[in-house]
Amino acid sequence: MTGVLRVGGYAVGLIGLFTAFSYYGIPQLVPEPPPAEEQVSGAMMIEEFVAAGARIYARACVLCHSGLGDRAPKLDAIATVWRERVDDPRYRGNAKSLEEYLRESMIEPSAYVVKGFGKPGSGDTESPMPGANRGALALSPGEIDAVIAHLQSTAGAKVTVAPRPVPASGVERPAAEATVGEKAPDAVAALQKFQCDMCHHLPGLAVEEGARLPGPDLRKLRETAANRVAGMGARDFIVESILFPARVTAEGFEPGLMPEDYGDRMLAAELQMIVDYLAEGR
Amino acid sequence: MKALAVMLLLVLVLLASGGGRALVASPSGAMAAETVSAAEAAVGHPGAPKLTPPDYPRYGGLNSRVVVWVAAQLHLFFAAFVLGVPIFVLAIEFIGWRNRDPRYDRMAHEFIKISMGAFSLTATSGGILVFALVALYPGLFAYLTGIFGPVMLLYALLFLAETACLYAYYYGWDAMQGRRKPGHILLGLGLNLVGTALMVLSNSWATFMMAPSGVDARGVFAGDVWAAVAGPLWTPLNVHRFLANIAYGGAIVGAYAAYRFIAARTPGEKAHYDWMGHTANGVAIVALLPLPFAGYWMTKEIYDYSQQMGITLMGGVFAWLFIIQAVLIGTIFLAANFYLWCGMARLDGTSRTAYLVKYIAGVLVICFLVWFTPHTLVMTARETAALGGAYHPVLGPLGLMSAKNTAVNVMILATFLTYQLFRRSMVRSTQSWMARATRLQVAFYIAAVANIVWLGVYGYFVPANVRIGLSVPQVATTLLVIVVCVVVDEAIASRSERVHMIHWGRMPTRAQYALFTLAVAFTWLMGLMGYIRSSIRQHWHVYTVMRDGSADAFTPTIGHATSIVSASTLVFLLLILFVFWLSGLGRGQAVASGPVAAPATP
Ligand code: HEC
Ligand code: HEC
Repeated sequence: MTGVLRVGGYAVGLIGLFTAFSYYGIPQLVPEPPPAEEQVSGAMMIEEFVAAGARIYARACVLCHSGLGDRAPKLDAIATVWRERVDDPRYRGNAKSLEEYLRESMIEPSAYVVKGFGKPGSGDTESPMPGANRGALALSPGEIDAVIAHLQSTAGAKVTVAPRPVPASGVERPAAEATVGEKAPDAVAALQKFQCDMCHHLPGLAVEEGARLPGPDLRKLRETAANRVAGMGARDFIVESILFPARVTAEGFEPGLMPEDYGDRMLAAELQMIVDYLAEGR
Repeated sequence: MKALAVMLLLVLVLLASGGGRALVASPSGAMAAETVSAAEAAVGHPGAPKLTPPDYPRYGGLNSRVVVWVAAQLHLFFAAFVLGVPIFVLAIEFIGWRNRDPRYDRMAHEFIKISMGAFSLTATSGGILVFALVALYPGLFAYLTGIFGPVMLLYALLFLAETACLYAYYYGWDAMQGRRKPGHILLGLGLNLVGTALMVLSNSWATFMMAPSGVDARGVFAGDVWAAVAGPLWTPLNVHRFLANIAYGGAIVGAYAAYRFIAARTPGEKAHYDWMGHTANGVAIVALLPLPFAGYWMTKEIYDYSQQMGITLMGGVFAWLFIIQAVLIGTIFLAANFYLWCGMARLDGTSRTAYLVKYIAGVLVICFLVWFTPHTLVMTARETAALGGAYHPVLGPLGLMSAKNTAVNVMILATFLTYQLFRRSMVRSTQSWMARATRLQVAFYIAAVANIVWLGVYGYFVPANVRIGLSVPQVATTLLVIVVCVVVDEAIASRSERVHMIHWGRMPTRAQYALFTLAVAFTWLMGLMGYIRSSIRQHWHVYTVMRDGSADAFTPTIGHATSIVSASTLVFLLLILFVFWLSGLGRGQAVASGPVAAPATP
């Protein structure tokens, strides 16, 4: 019995030592809480906007972009460096300004991969940086704007982005947490419920003629949809475009703008109605 | 039989939750049939649910995370032990059978007996874990069952097979001797195959949560279970756990042998348990040697999968945990070496190479310090403030790795050298080529250490993605030395005379405490690394796909995390001590009363 006690006592002592070392031998950092979405609203003053960008940047980007340990390039000289980037033959994107380059770097990191920073074995063609609008970072478009404003301001460039006025331009992404809600009675009501008309010209929904909207005109979709993607019928193409906008991008339009969460917010019946309406005019 | 009962319960729970997800989906509101979301209707599988605190049932003041954490940890301790032991038991049984030496057979039998005792606790803790998950994390459990349902069913069936194999293997031991031995060995092989399959299946759930595959960005499952199972981290984790389980099994049965050694009354018993302890220590060390490399491989795969996760692991808050890991591994290496040095006392006279021990000890301590250093060098208050306190400036993702790699390789070589010296002291070289071969071995060691150190230093002058590749030639060097030395030693031993008898049992008690240290440190280390592995997901249940919406989604402080590890370790050790005690009951007749209870060679 004393044997058991002695062995038990020894084990407890040893565990105690390990625990004590973990408490007193190393600093007790308090890890950051999980990120909450930063509220970026049209009512913000530009300074607040830039400050919000700085907060988002600190939590989402500094881990890699601090300039330590070869993790990722520092971004403080990006205001001049971006021109070299887009002139490089390896550049595969289509940014024409600092703002566009920053947005592109965040959403399509592999459009240009800074030398020496590519994924191992990819020969600097694939970026290890996660897309900022998805996956582990999952920033909202408003948050991405704020980060761009912050980066422009720290790099000493002119801040060219402003908080998106929510209702006016209608580009602000509808709140991601919106609930499924009441079922819309018909296709047009459904299109309105999901604010498709903020970005698209739609059949049967009067929008000021000639207004420039951020998404493609969908009034002729009935004729074009079947030919957009080889091997994909009109209906499939429309379903795909609504549920997974990132998979098929219309030429000349900004990817990542169309909300990606319709799949979660839309009732199956509503999707059905919209597809019928857009594909067959019913 | 209790194990069976628990298992049946487990199957029922799995079936209930897999078949009728309604059982657990209730908190997120009235999801009536008509309101299936569109994505769900399109693919036939729901995406990952977006959970909020009300989706996590709470029971009184119970901290759900701690409950699941401890339950999972205990289950893993037992499972690792129960899966690891049969692997080397089978090897020992096989050796005994080939050499017609019943002592090996007896030792193997005794090892498996301990693991039998732990088996029902494995099943019980597994049942508790599933129950806790269903009760406390229903949303996560439902999502995982939605994807892994078939795998879980297979798992449950395999568990029944495992139970059957283990019972047949253990209870058939005495009956299946002599001509039936090959049949018994086949049974043991079957046991190990089923056991490994079990481990590999359950690993897939853990790696899916770290690096999901087979689902899209929103967690919508495409329907291919194999794609979900064979994620990018699955194979590295399988290899790592397979090795670690063997090492762990060795460490725990080593503690058993030490415990029995201390309690032994007769010289025969002492000799038997001394030999058992020596064997167990050998098993633990041999399996431990490749483990750091499996760990590096896994880290590299984590980086490849997600640089962000890799940096969180090696360069964020978690980097500090690797300092604790260094202390633990240092403890393990020192204890194992100490045990081997004490073992020299079993030989007649003093060994010619005994003087080397203090130099080896010195090398080990230096390596240990190198491993440990970065934390005292860096992190001034200003640096901390500048980085918001969370990130370690010099522990870059791999900045430390060069030094660490070098230290661990040298440590492994030093440990191997200790073992080699012990074996070599038993023979005297009789032919001149043997002396030349020995000099060649020495030269080999020197060249190898020089190469390893040079690669380590070089690592500081190249970019990270080149540096990570340097660990490969370092490891190759270490392994090459070990292989060459084993071959040369075998050649020498088989052609020379034996000058020393091993006196099993002639071992100080403090050496037994080295074995306990090994077991405690191993258990604690496993708890720590398990915590790191699963917590680098941060606030995600399933990384990038399903957020942890509970109130506990934050990363705890290191102190808090390690106290949970300590608590789990304590509970496990208490239970395993109980198992030791149980398996000690009603035996005594097994140890031969003759003077030689252990063979002359280790
Ligand atoms: C997991 C690490 C990681 C995280 C997190 C990360 N980045 Fe990156 N980033 C990189 C790497 C590596 C590169 C260089 C490779 C490349 O060009 O894509 C890079 C490149 C960039 C570039 C182009 C730099 C240049 O010199 O052309 C920009 C701009 C950028 N990141 C912005 C951001 C922003 C803003 C965030 C936060 C929302 C962020 N990154 C988060 C790793 C990361
Ligand atoms: C915030 C602006 C925005 C909203 C709101 C929006 N879209 Fe879009 N949509 C876009 C943009 C930009 C594109 C082009 C880029 C792309 O394909 O992702 C697009 C593309 C499409 C396309 C593919 C057109 C083609 O020819 O490639 C379809 C179909 C579509 N949207 C339907 C809808 C429907 C239906 C809704 C409402 C449920 C909707 N969109 C809401 C911005 C929006």
